[in-house]
Amino acid sequence: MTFPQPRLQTFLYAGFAAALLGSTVFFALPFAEASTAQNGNNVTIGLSTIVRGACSISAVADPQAANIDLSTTQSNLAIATVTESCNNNGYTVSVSSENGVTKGQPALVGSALNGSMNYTVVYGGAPVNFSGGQATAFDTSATLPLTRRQVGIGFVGNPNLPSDSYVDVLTFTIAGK
Amino acid sequence: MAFMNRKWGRLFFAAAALGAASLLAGGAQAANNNNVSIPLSGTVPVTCTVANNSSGTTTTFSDMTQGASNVLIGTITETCNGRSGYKVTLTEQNFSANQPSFKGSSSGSVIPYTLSYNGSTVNFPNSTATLTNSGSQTGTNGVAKALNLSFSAGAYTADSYSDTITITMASN
Repeated sequence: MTFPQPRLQTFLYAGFAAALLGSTVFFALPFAEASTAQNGNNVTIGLSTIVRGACSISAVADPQAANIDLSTTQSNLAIATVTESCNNNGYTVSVSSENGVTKGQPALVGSALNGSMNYTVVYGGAPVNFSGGQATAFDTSATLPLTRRQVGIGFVGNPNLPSDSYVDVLTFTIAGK
Repeated sequence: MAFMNRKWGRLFFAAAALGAASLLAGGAQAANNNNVSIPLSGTVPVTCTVANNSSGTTTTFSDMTQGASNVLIGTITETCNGRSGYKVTLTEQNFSANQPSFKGSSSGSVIPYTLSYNGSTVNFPNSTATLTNSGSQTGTNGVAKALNLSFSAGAYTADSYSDTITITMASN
């Protein structure tokens, strides 16, 4: 391999540095070339970095989420595990209940007869207080590593509800600060 | 870029492309995964029960020749969450001559009787009569209905008479 000219060498070093730093680093090529032009014995490479805020949330539903026995009382029936990932200096996780918008609080609603059963949500072991079908499940001002939290629901079992299939959808949203 | 030879040029662009791809991948993840939905589904099975209170376990008539009028033999509580309602039927053991009847254990003689349920006469097309045919479910505590029995006084054959009635509930 033939070693390149000094100016080309500088340019290449900048390119390799950018590749190694991946999505988190932008480099300033004009700085490198300008510096080289001012001093022939050494070179200064100006680097400007931007770390982009990236928050994501995912969930793995527990099997029982699709087949909940509403005739038996539950205090914290596990329905899913949510994984939070956010490199911001703080973030919030909000949750909404599809039926909660009309019912005022989370509710499983019968598909045939519109019978309904209210339920509570527990996020990471803490009760979630809903208002108008929405709530803040988690709020932090710190930068946290990837975190998994269990989601549970509670309700007073009622075997005298009309026999039916009852459904709802909980949607969790993460937002960086 | 004219000062770059071809080999180093290719290397540089490959490295730069790697960095750009990494950038794009990170952005897509942030844009697409900021919310997640968990569907919930629960079921309530059909549960229908009939219960008889303690007053109606066994009713004994000491002298059947005197007859009986509207004697309470049981209070039946119907409870059913079937969304299409439910039916309660009564089956009588010694149905004879189109009537429910007591039957003598030795003589085989019968003494006919009538029943009323929740204040209405029970009609027997055969040994099984329909007591309730509802198109809707009951409330949480169910519905309590009295079952009463009557028979006429008469010079019946001396014997020990008995009968058994069975009440059944089913969702529609």
